[in-house]
Amino acid sequence: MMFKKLFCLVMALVFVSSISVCVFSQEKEVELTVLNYLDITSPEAKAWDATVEAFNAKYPNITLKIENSFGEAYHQKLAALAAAGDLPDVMYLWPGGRSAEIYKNELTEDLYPFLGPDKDKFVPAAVTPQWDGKLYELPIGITATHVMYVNTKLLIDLGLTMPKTYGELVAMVPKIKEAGLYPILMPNKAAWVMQSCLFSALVGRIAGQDWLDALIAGEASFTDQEFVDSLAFVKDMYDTGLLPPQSIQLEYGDGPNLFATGRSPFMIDGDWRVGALVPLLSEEEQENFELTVFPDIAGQKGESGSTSTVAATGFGMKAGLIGDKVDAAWKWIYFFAGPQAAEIRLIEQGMIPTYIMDLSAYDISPLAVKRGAFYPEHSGTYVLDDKITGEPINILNIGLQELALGNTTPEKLAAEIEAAR
Amino acid sequence: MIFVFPALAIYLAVIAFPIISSVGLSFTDYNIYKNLAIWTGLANYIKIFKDPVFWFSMRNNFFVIFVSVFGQIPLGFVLAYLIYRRLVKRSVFFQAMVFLPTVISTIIIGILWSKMFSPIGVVPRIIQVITNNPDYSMTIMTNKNLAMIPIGFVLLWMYTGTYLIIFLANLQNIDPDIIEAAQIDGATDGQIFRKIIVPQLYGVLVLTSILAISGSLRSFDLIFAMTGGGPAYYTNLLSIYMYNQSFIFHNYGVGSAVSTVMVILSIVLVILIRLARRKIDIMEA
Repeated sequence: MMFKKLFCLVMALVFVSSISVCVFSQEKEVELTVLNYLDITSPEAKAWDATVEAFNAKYPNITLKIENSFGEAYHQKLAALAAAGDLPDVMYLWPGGRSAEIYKNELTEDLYPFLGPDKDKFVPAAVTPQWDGKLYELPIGITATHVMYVNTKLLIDLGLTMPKTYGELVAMVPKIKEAGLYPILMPNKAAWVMQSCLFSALVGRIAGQDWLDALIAGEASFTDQEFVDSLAFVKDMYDTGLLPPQSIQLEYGDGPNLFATGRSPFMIDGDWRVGALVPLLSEEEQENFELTVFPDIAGQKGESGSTSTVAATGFGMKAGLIGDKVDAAWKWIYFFAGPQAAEIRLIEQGMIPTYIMDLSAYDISPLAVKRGAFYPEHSGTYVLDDKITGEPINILNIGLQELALGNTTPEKLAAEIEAAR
Repeated sequence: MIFVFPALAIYLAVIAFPIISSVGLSFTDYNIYKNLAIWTGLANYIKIFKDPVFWFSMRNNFFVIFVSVFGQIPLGFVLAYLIYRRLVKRSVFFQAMVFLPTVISTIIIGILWSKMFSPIGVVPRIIQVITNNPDYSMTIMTNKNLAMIPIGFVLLWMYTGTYLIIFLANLQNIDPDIIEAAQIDGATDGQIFRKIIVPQLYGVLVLTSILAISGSLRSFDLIFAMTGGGPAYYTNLLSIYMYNQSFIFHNYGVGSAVSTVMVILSIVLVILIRLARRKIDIMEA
């Protein structure tokens, strides 16, 4: 009898504990709204889809409700959502200037407490404070916003060699034009492109890093000769025909296709464009493409071979999330910057991750290998829209287009930017 | 009164309240994220009136109004008249073709024409082939004073169909006996048009003009999708200027000042049209 009672008790305990295990081990379903920065028609979309698929497999209880947007439309959408108090749970953010209003108004969470000791798993430069001593987004890479892509085969076919100075580059214009090609391909209908992908690097080169530091510290002015000379240089690139007038009418997304199909021996864009070029070129064709920077400029104060760099973008978390959403949001943010997603971007786009991992184990495309080799070869100066916010940067972006169209002067534009500071 | 209340409440909530609160905000430096407004008086108005981009945007808005009132309405009227008098063959097909752009999403139309006018688009390519000039590109798109012209063409293409339908519907309300009687009395087509058709449609002309003006002043989507206001600010409208001030520069007070100016401008133009109509009525009488 006693044995029977004991048996029943044990069975009851087993039953209750098994039920509890079932109940507690089943994670709650969470829906996470995601605002992502992606041109879904671009080749980069493939890596994004693979990332989402991998996340869904790892965390089946988290449903991602994704909205994609790209270019200025993304920033405007984010600003409108922030203004309406309707930010998504996680959103794509920039380390500085472009997301400044979000940080200034503390609309996103500091990620340092979430990251904890895992901070050491990332490249130190990527996890330095972004705003007010806080980390508002977890960067997925270090970005060079200026890269001069070269189609070496086309250059040889034209009987030209890689230019070492600006003068040599200008001297190539007649021959390239004669062949019916664009001397430099840089679609900059969107106003940010010129500033981010070329002008920032030019200021770093012409004015030098010391002047840039002085400008940010408020000890130098936009009307200084260094900055005016940088603006005048852009004007000169249009006047000499290096940048054809059509470039201001070309959509940003048109660049990779035109370049991959041999419409120009040079393309100026950010390092992220490797991701768009790789799917358009076979491995053999990729051998004919190189990544370098703008050649030396006479009288430059900055370092030869410098580009403009910034800690890259990543996802941030809406301030004030509670309960399971916080956990789900962090899981997504960490996953996107972490090893699994980094591996996908490395293989698909050649993006060198901020997450420290052994890259030699991967079989990546030739252009991606060249991207990896690009960073140690080129020192970095500031990207202006990362350091300057608000009206001055918008006046600069629009002013660079006016300058190209001959409707303003470097001096006038510099004075307008300084006045808006 | 009790039956009017629901409609009145909705009107006050979604039209009157935003306008009044926007007017209030236009006198402040407003941080929308913290819902904090600091009184600045007329500073925002002084700022926009001193900004050449504001005046350039207003100039572009008047261009859009001009295209709407003196382009879309007369063209819509003429096309409707041609169909009404059966002066074109296959009038139903003709009518459908003119009306078709109206039913396509404005954003799609903006992107479509942006691609067509692009240096690698269809329009420059056709001109390159016709002129045998492979270097041709549409510099009109980057000309500060002419950049609005291609947009004016798209506006005509897109909205003429709306006016065609409005005019056609009203033309069909005209008693055919009147026209027949006039023909028996020996009136020519021109006389019928001037003396019978046009006077009967004065009310519709005024209505379409008001629609065109108010639509033009708040015009945003098509041009935003097509050019984003660029290159530089050459195709900016007041609405795009307002949008930039609010959502790019985060100057919500300045954005509100621009919207207040737009409302005032709209009211003034509508009053002018009503005055013009009254004058015409008196002259006719």
